[in-house]
Amino acid sequence: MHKFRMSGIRVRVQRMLLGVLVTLCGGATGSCNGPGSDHGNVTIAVALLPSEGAAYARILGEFSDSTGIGVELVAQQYQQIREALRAEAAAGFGELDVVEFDVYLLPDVATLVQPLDSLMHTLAGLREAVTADAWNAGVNLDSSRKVLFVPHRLNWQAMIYDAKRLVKPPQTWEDLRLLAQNRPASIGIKGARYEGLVCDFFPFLWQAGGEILDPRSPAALTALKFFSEIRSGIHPGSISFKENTVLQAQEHQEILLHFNWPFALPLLRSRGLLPGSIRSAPLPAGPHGSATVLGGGYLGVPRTAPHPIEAVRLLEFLTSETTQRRLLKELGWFPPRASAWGELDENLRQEAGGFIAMKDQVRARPLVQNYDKISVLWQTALAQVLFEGEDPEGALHNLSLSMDELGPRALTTQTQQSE
Amino acid sequence: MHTRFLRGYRPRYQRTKKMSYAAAAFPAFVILSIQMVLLGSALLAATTDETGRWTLEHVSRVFADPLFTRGVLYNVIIPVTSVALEALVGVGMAFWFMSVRRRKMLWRTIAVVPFALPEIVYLLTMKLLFREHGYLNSLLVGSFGGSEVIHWLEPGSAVLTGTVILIDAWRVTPFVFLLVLAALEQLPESYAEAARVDGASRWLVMKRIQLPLILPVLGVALALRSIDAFRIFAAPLVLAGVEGLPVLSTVAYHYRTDMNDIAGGSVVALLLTAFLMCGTAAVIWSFGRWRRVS
Repeated sequence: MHKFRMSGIRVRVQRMLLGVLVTLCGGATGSCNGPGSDHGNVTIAVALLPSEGAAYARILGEFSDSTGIGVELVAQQYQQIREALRAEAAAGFGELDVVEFDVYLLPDVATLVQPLDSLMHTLAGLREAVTADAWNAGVNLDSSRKVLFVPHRLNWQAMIYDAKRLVKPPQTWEDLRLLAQNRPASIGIKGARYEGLVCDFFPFLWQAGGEILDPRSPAALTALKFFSEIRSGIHPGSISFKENTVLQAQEHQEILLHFNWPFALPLLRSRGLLPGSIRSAPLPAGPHGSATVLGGGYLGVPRTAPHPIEAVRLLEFLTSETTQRRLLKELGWFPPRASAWGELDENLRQEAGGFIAMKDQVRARPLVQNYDKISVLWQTALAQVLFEGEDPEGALHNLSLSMDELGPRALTTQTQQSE
Repeated sequence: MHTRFLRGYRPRYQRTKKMSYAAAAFPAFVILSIQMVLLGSALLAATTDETGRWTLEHVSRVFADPLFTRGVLYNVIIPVTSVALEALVGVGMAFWFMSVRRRKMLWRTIAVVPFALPEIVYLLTMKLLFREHGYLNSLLVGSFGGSEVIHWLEPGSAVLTGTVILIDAWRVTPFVFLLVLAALEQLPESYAEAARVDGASRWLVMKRIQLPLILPVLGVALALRSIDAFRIFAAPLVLAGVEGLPVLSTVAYHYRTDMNDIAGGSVVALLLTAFLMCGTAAVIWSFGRWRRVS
């Protein structure tokens, strides 16, 4: 009798557990139903520094207050956003409504976002307000010339130097050459083989009168020879420096100067180094004047976005002049709209003086199908010259041959295609 | 009575045993399937071109890259030296610890701290310590004068390799130390006492009695550490960057993230997997053989 009762209880417990299991499975399946599983909130993935999160969320909060559309902010690195977008595209549905990408990643993710031409009403006005270089980066490379991305914030490189140990920063190539001779291992280069390496070199190539797609030009040789000449001044750690690590070397006074993006400014300010012991200055000018490289965050709406209409409203809000002014004031983000610069805050002028001085010398990397492959070829040539002691002429010769192998289509710029 | 007790419960025991096998088989099957899918996709990426045709172009491209060649070299040098150092220091520490009479808990805690810290915290602290203008160089300059500093983390230098080995070994030596110490503490004191009565020195007791008795435990500890050491990733990446001191895992990471080269990254990852599987098999085989012989 006792045994019978026990087995009855056991059966009941088993049934109950089975019920719980079925309920849980049902719940899990329900939460994976894909589109429409949330409550109408727009999800935006942006590359933010931890210090920028609160201010950016506040600005998004104002959008929610004025439109009634909730916004979920996902702060991630560009590479992670790309991976998430690829996964969503493969799955055929997703959560992300608005994504931000660095300018050099745009061709790589162009097929994963939808054209904005018919969706975004303020597109024409924005186009008028943005420079051609900044605008064209977001336009599709094929003949349709559809707008896939709109500029959210612009970046360009400037020099960051130790103002305590270097009273006058180098203003010309000759000054930089002298510094390299007199102060060995004092210049930091982002020398790890990645996009940052070419971002340090391309301004010098342009300053010599060269072009990225023409490695056979005498100007390309001049620029590479100059880099070879300043080798003694380059810090040996440069071979593995990236944006963050070169900045750490600057903070620890292991180098006198390096070239970096404006993201460095709030980090240096938070450590009490800016303005004061560390300052920014324009890049040293070359024989053909001054130039720097365009970077920046661009916004797009994924093809799998569950709320494209609301996403476009958020895009319109973020690219409006009022918001751009606020982003400049509160986060120090350089606005794509020329009119949003307005009257500059004295603090910003002092801290970002070097960057602001280069505002009109910004140049974009070429908009070509195989830019990533061309960049890798330049990275290899630069690494050979800087860290392996290869002759610049030999390195450029190899680079030219490899670039020829990519074929003429790879070297056709967007302008040539549209013609 | 005892036999009857066991006999009575055998069917139930066997049923439970069968159920536990079944319960273990399902997750094992799932995990194995996921691993096979991951391996398969990596293999596909490594051996096909953009149009999906079979190619060895990615393999030859990766093999021609000096970064990969250096990665293979350092992926042998660092783990082998590091594990040897861990064995030596771990065993030494355990024997020294057996002779400690006072504040045993304090010493044990101090010894385990590097292992207990999260790896990234430990490595960033070490980077602050060893960098050009770091605490260690400040201490050395402050103590001995002069202005020349030691470039502990200079990319490509032998000093950097030594520093990374030292830092990596320091973090995981407590693992070997704790296992060996546990084995030593389990040994009956009578063995050593008997040897001492016969006039054996402390060194002889250690060499001829204690060390052979703890060898099975030491073997397990070193086998586990060897497998783990070949997967080294964070230490060279944080302390030196990919180009500064490449190992296979950081080279795969570099291809995948910095160069957006999925095929290249897959080639390196697959080679590392093959390398690890061969290494693990060799360690298990040699350990089994050694046990049979001993």
